[in-house]
Amino acid sequence: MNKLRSNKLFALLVAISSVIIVAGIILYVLLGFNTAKDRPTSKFIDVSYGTTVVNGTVGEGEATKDASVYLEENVEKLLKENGLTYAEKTHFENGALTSNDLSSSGQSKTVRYTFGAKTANDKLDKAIADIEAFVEAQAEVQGSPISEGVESVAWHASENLALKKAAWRGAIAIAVGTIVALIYLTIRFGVSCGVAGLVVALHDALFTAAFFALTRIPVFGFAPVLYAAIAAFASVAVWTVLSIRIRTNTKDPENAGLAADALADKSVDGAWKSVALIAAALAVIVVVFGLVAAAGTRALVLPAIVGCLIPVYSSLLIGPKVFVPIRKAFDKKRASKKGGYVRKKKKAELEAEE
Amino acid sequence: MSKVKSALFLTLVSIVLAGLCFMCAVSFNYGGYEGFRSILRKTQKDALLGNSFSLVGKADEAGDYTYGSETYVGGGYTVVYYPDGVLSKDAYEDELEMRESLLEELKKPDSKATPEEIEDADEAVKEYTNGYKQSGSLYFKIGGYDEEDEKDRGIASVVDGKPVVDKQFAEEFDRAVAAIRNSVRELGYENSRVDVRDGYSVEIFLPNFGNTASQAGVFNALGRVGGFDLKYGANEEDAEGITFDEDKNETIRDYVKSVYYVSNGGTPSIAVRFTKAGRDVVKNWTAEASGSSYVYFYVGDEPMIALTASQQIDQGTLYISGSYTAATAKATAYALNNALNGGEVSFSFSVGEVFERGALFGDLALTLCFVACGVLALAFIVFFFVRYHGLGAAHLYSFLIYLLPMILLVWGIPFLHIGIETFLAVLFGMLLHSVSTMIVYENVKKEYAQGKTMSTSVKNGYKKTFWGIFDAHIILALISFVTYFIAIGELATFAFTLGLATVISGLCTLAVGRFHWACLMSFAKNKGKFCNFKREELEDE
Repeated sequence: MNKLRSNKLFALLVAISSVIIVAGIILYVLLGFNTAKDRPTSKFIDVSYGTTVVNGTVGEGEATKDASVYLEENVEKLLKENGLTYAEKTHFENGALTSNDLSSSGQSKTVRYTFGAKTANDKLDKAIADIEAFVEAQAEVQGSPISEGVESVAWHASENLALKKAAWRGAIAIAVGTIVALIYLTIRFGVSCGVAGLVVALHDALFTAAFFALTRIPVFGFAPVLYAAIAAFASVAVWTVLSIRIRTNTKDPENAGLAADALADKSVDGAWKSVALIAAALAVIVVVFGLVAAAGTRALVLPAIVGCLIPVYSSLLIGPKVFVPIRKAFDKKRASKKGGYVRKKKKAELEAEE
Repeated sequence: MSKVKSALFLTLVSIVLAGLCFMCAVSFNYGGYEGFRSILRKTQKDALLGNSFSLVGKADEAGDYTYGSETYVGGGYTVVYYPDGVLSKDAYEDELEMRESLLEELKKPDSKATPEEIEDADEAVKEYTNGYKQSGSLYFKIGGYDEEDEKDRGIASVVDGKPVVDKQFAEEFDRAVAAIRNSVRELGYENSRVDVRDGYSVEIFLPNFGNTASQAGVFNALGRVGGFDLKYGANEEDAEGITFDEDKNETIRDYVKSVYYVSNGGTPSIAVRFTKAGRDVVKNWTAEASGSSYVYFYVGDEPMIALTASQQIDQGTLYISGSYTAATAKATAYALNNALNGGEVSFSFSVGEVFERGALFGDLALTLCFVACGVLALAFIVFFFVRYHGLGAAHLYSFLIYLLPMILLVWGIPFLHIGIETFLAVLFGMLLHSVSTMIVYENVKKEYAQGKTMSTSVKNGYKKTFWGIFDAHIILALISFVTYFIAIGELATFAFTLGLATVISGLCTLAVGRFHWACLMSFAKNKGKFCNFKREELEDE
């Protein structure tokens, strides 16, 4: 543990954190986060079909299939034949928008196959032509509702316009929330705990956001701010645990006269298990929730583990080192005040003696 | 506490908790579509989650079912907008098919059509096929953009057999899209998105509000782009606008400062802030108003608001309410304000395809989230029973008293809904509650180990840990609620839910838990064994 408290290591950690945060900010300004989960650009094929396909069947006897299933199977086969692999398949109900209502028919549907933005247009054109030919050929198949029921087949290119307002509002919210919470911490535990807590919480929020900007892990557009908030909240929680320990140790008569750095070391010794346990429990929640949940949820939840674990590193290794000089300064100030008081008292006593 | 009182209290609490558990989690049908839907089922879901569609309703005397409004299913709606001069492949083919079938009908031998009529129909087909040129999945109207007839003008010219969109139209399209994006952003609905499709159409996705009329109002407002104008008259045809002083380069912005949404005593309203000149104009217009004339607020060619002037209007800020919901009032205000502040857009959008889709993360996403929460909750509960034996029951009671109000609050507070962020916040709250409870139990355990009686140990244990737990909860609640007040979207939902979870967790740990402990203790013959607490063994010297 002592090795982890050396000033050299602290300087190294500060340097690493600073480099990561600064590089993350630069990369964010230049490239933003990797919001691939939002599919910022994509191409997709929409196949729309009506009631006859939704309610119809194809084939006879045991080979009877729902017409929509049969249609989708064949569309997917044709896509494969054209060398197209879709990233997502989505079902929609077609609807209508009037001046005072928005309704879905329930009988007319669209299946959307989403591809990467770099998918070649000629491949998509060819696939559309093949699908249309298949649909047309179904007119010759007795009892097949597909030719009559398929309403349209088309491919589109899509470009998402990011709605960025939430990001900067979120950043300000985290900063203000942290400051307000740490004002309370300052009142209850002293300025040194408050300032160190603020440094640690802001470090954790920035570090988490920078981590996602640097590593280019694909995330949903709104997610990095949420992860940063989780980091800041977790950081404040674990720093509170440390602050409680520092206060308890300060009040303990056994520790009277203990220097700030010794006090910090003793508090970290007493609290590191609790801090690690809280962070581990948070991480377990995130991992279990992420693993059990559906694929989309997993992609959103699992990266939050970064925000859960960063506070352990900062609260145990950075926070106490920030706390010590502030505490020393306050101790010195208090001592000089006390000294002043003692000198005045002595002077008064001397004067009285004279 | 006496055994009888404890038994009575625990029985009552158990009945209430069982009832709440039933209400929160169980849904069933009793004949046809009539049924009982659990709180969790009725709670709004965000676009990412949602459950499969289920009808709930009551049969009237005629046997027809009227469906309740609680059938919220998550997911959302996508609407595609096409500007004037741009057609989807379907719209183009439908129109062409209609014209061609008319021509075929007229050409039939038994048709009584005159040669001129056939020629006109033939011309209509040619005009249509020549008038539009395909690029990708869109058809562009060919012709000069600066023709006088704005509705029927072309927006592209043909270069090397391909349509090339007019520069002015492209600039106006970008402005219109920026205005739509601003409005959607200001509306602030989670998971909403705006996509430009095929370069010159717009696709907007908004989560399901659970009120299709309101949602339709929002989609219609979002598609309104164009210049802002203010007119007054008995009807749209006769209405006259402001005469701008050309020497002073006056524009509408010299008369109207801004348009914004405001909730006036809970009534959603649109506020129009006039300049002094604007206020005077409206005042003069409505000097003799008697309810038969209107102040029109135009966006593009059509009025968005027709305000009946029943008396003279002399206000710096005019508050317009009516049949607006908060959502429609916001969307209308944003559309008007964007039109006022945005650049010139001389076309309008028409609605194309409309899609409804279920949970964006798939039909099973919500169920799996509940399973994950259940697994974690069970893990917490089992841990306490294993470590503290009978005392696990006290934790179970306070745990349920934390969890059930959380479910009720998420259901009852209008701006909360079930989403991933809500799940995370509730789970983090669950952890906070269990960790705090464990800290208390461990302190009591230490006291008991030193040879104190159980009641003294409990008293001392709570006394020692009270302020630490109190501070931790206050600090987390503070950061959460402050974050909620500033943030928007998912973060705001997460922060508010976590704030609630923190407050309830604090109450459950420090008050409820202790009370249940006291109740349960009255049944225990060997209190230490009941709690799995052991005395320290002292070695004889």
